[in-house]
Amino acid sequence: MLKGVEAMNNKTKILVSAFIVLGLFFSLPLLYSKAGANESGKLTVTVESLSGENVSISVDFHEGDTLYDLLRNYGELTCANASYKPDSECKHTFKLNPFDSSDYDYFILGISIDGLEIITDMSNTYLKIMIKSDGDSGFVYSQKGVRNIAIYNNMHILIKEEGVQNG
Amino acid sequence: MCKMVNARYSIKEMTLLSAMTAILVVQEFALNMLPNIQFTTLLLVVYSHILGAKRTSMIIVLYVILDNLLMGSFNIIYFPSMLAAWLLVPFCLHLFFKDEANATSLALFGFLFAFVYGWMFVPASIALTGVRLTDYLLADLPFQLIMAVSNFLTILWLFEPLSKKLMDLLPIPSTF
Repeated sequence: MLKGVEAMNNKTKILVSAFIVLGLFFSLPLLYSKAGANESGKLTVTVESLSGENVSISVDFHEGDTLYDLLRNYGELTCANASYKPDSECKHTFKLNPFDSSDYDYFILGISIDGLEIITDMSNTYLKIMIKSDGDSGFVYSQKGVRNIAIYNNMHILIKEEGVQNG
Repeated sequence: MCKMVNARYSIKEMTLLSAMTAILVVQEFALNMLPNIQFTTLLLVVYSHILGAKRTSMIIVLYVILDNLLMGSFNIIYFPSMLAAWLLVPFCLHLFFKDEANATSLALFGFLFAFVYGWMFVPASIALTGVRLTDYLLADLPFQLIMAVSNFLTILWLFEPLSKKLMDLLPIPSTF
């Protein structure tokens, strides 16, 4: 089907290239989901340590809130800085898209909620984030970080300390 | 064993294949900071055109092993997906584009290949993370589009000059 397509001259190539680059430039922002909830609601966050100790809290959220905002409001976070060392102020962000400065996220090393405090070191332990939307039968790995996870009403989020060797 | 190797590939040829693999790996690392913008598809199309499907497949096997080793992403589930996805380039070109040297046709192939490449990782990703198919496809779509445009433009503009240059440098007959 593609074989035998008429070859382009340089003028056509320039026009087609410009058209495609512009098309990509304008279509990409439409495909990226914006950080922040689209609605108000309530979700559950469960934090579990390596030893199995866990706490669950119910969290109210409003339009525009991110999971990062909620975790900071209801507990304390320790993020990673550029060298992956602990930074309790979460000043460093990791760019996800070099073409879009608003597309970034945080790397969470530690969390403290309701008396349960977990800190990981990236070498032996890490925090895995799993999500379960309303109607789902079980938890699945989150594909995004705490700022970009899409949050919905009745969602359940599990933040679990995991040993590196256990995957 | 040496006799068999010598009969099929000369030292010069093996050196060339190694050098071409090195170019493939180095460009990948040089462009690592840009998501899915690379010359890998262009180079594989050029290699397939000049060296043939068999030699290009050998380069791909080496490239995928090196890429996974250096990136630290060696994974029994992802590795076969990546290998199969890249092997599709020489396979499809050999099957559907025999003797085709039209940059426009090949650029369109490169554009479509980007989506197929992304889809090849779907089974592995679902098996590893349990992510829903629609979620995965939607999240991957921007990266597929970037790769598609990158493939289209690089092949459209660079396939002919690169093929010509490589043809001049290499005394290997084209066996697409």
